[in-house]
Amino acid sequence: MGRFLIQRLVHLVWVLLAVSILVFLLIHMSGDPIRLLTPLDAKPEDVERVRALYGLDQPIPVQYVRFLRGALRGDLGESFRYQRPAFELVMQRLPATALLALVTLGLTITVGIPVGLWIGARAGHAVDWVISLVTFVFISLPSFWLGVLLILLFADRLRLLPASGFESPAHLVLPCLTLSIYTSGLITRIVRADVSDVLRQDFIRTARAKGVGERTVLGHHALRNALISTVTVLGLQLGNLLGGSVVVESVFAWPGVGWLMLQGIQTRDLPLVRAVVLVVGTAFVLINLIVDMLYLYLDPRIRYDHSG
Amino acid sequence: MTRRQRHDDRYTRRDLLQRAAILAGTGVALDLWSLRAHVLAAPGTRPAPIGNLLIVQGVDAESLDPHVTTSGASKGMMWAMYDKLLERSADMKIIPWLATQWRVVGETTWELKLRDNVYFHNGEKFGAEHVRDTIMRFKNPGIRNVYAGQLRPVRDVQIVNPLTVRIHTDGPFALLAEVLSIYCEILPKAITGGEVDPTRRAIGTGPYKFTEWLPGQRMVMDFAERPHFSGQPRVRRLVWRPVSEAATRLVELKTGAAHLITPVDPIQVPELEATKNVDVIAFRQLSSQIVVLNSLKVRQFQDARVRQALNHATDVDTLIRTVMRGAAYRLGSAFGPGIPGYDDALRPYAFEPDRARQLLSEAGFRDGFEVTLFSPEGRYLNDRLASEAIAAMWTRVGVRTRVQVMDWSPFVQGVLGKTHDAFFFQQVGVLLDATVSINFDSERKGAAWQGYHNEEANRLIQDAVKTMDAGRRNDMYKRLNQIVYRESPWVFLWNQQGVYAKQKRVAGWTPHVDGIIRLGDISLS
Repeated sequence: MGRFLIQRLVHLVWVLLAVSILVFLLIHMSGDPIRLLTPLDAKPEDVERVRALYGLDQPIPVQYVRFLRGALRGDLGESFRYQRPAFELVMQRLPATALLALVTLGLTITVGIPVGLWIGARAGHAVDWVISLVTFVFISLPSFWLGVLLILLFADRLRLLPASGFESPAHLVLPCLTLSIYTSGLITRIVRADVSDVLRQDFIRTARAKGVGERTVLGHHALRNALISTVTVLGLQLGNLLGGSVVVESVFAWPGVGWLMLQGIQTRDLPLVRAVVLVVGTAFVLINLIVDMLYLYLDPRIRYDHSG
Repeated sequence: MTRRQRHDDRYTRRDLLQRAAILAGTGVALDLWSLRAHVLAAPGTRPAPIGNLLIVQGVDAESLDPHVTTSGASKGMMWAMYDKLLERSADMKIIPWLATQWRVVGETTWELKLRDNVYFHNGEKFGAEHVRDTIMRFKNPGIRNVYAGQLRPVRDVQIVNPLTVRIHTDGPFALLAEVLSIYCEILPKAITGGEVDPTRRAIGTGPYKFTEWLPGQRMVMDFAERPHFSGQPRVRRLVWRPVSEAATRLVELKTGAAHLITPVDPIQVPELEATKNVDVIAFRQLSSQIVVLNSLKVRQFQDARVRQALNHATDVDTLIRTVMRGAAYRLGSAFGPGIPGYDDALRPYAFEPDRARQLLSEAGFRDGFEVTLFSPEGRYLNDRLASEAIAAMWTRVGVRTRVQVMDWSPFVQGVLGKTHDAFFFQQVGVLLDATVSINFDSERKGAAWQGYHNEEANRLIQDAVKTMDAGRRNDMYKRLNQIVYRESPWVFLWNQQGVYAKQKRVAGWTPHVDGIIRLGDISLS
């Protein structure tokens, strides 16, 4: 177990290193950052001076080594655009994104799992058909369209909720709804599929034959087995959400990491994009680690030390 | 374990693809097209400021440092807290601000009289030393100020007395007043002396003082207790919020969560006009929408007749009516009204396809030629649509045109690398000197210069900067505009319409044509 953890943490370092090189190359390959940072009516000599101030006049390998040296000291560089430490900017935005992600996750679990379980136990019935169709629609709705639609309905027409911003719990409702409509649909479908699969297996028939109550069969046997893939998908979705939902954050002016990254990409703000990717990448790897740990609890047959 | 890894890989790839699709779909919507206004009010008795004014713009400020910010949206925010030596009226005339008088006292010297009884928000009394220190900071090569070159000719700032400065320049520098009315916000010693970090805290002499900035969320300013010389402010608190989605901005205004929004998509105008309590304010922007013809890449463009032919082949009125839905004003020459050298005697090229064919034939291209028109998508209003329509019009007279749509970044690289045959472009820049020199001066070969060459144009551009007499300078720019009109290195299209929307209870506000918000006498009734 200890060896497994150490392996995974070493793995994390490699992932981050690879990601940082990739971000570096992609940003440089996709255009000269300084020309996107500076207005087109800036004089050429000013552009060159500012390029040197940002260190962008150095060869790319030199820039990368400089970045690594800084990163080892915990300095991810200063955002070109905001002139503030990139790491600080990301950490300022992370709480908003984390709040959105966790509430969405909570909604997804409270809606998706019970509904999936319920229709999984009724696979083939009319109710299963109807709900499956609804969830299919839910996961197919593009979030930018859904977000704007919800704003028009709840903020503009009904005047029940604020359209955008990050001020009060009411501001959380529409972005969370937009995100969780997709994730709940997804989880409902996964739980339904797994539960209906498990319920056809021999051990369930045995349990029922032994006289185990339907509630226990569903809650204990079926659900626990269905949870392996559910937890996997939830973990990945949480990683996704922590990366910031670019579309939802920009539609609702939610000051999170995704919107920050979008701005960073548009202006080729290398340190900012790098910091977002590294922080989010770390979160993603750690969430996967937690998911792996959860498997141990959910399925006692899984042992990591033997598989190396 | 292996089963788990497979799962993990599969979902990770899918996840990355999904994210890439989201990013691609979002596009480059955050354009830095912003808006503003201002009226110089008479000082005197001031009604107590009331209410919170909520302004929603498409983008946030890039920084709190006024010498580093470049976007119009940021400048509007900065100018509520910081003052410049000179200002612009709504029609872009230079007006007194922290400097009450300015005059040329020699070929290389300007004298500025400064306003008395002006205080920074930290209590410092404004005076000549602040002007000297601020100008020196603006020019400091260590500051990431991309406009530092605008004051490069300034050699030295001499303090004559606490309220008079003389600015000495290397050679005649006629544009000083123009530059000071747009750049160089005046800073307190606390900032120029390094005691306060201007990226964390703003301290100006403006009508509003800095309260907080949560990047991406809101910037808050409260009225400065000491009355401002302009008569401002009339509201207690300003809250600026960035909302990138146009539909969301509109709902914020309709529901009262915003008092003033910008930019407004012309498509939204009918809906807003039908909304009670909302005013729509449209104005003619300064920036010129054009097609730049690259004669470095396409040899046929070296012949002025070919460039004129393309102007005659482009039915701009129809484009404005259809593609732009009327939200544009026809441009007769390189620049529209509000820019020095504008000449309303220059009539737009008439739409005459036959004349275009004849000119092409005279130039020796009876059979036409092939060309690629590059266009960004989503950067300017209806850019792709307009480019496609223009390509069809050119093809009809024999210039077989293919449109290539590009993401903004490679598009800009092509502009700077001068590799596009022709491109759909918006020329911004309030200062004519900077703009014309990067476009038309074949000695400087600035960013947007694409092979155009005319000795007289070069000379006019270079001499105008040194011509201290404003009338003569204006004549020189007028002459330049006439040359550029005749030789048409661009296809002249339109000035886009800028649109603001505000609640009816917002009073006393006029937009500036440069699209930067100056609050002026804005108030809430």
